Amino acid sequence: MRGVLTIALLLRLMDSFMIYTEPFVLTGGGPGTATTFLSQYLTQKAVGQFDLGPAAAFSLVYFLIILLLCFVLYNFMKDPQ
Amino acid sequence: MRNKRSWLVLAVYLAFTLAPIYWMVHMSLRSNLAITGTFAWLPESLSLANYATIFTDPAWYDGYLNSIIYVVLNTILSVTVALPAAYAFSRYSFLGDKHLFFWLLTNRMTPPAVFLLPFFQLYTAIGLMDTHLAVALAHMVFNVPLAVWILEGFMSAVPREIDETAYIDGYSFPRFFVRLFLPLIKAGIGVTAFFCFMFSWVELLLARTLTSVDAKPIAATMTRTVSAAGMDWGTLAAAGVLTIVPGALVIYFVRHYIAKGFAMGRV
Repeated sequence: MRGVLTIALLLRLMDSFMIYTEPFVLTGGGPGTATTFLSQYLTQKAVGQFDLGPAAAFSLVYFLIILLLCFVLYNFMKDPQ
Repeated sequence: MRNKRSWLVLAVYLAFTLAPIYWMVHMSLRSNLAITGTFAWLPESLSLANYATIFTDPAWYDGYLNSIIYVVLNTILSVTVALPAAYAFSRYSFLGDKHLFFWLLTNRMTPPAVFLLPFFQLYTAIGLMDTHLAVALAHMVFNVPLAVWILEGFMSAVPREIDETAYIDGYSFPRFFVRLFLPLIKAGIGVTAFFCFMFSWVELLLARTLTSVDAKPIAATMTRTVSAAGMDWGTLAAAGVLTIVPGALVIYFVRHYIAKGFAMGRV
């Protein structure tokens, strides 16, 4: 089961980082910025305010955060052998 | 006793997952006045007025047409591109094939928001904004890796001897691939098409940002229903019900193969 569980957890982790639709439709990121998640903040920055440079940098950091977390989780769950 | 308990768990789970769907159907059959006015478990009067609005108002049914066009386009393109790639990964070994295969998965790992900016800039530069092809191509970044992963699993389950026998029997490669090999992995293609369809159908962020008028998908239409007269709950619920239908249809056709796709451990 270890292999299957690892993949399932990894995919779940990646998917939960992608969350956009639910908060966007339900609260629009509000009240204030209480439910503004990374992807919505990035979208606002990129196509709302056209802060293209910072938004591009933000995209890369966002990706690296996920990559790092997946790497840590994968190594944590990997078979010791 | 044990049997009874597992039945109860299943019933609670079903109630939990089906309640929102029931409530949506329920709302779609009532008028706005009744929805905001009184609470009722069953609709007082069944009216299909909300559905009629969707099928007669171009603002609504265009959304469905746009969604279906780019989703179908994306599914066909993704599967066509992924088939040869998956065959190469499953049959040949070449320099860095493992790394390349893993790199495909990292594409699946990236949130759509990360790719938003590059797509936005590129499409504006080459005039692809607000076309069906734009959304289909953008979704391919996520669907092609997934399709290659699933198809590779199905293709590796076909014995290599079949390739060799076909070669000895004098089949040319394209003929072997289309006439012999593809029918063998029919189930895999069905499952792959289903996953491509599903991702593209529910994805909102890219579809919403890369389109404005001509290719606006239904998901984006549904997020902008607050009008001067307030929320149009009934029509919104009817649109929701209609949005479930294509997905349910597709899953009906591949229902026997989905479990196999999961069992191959590639999904």
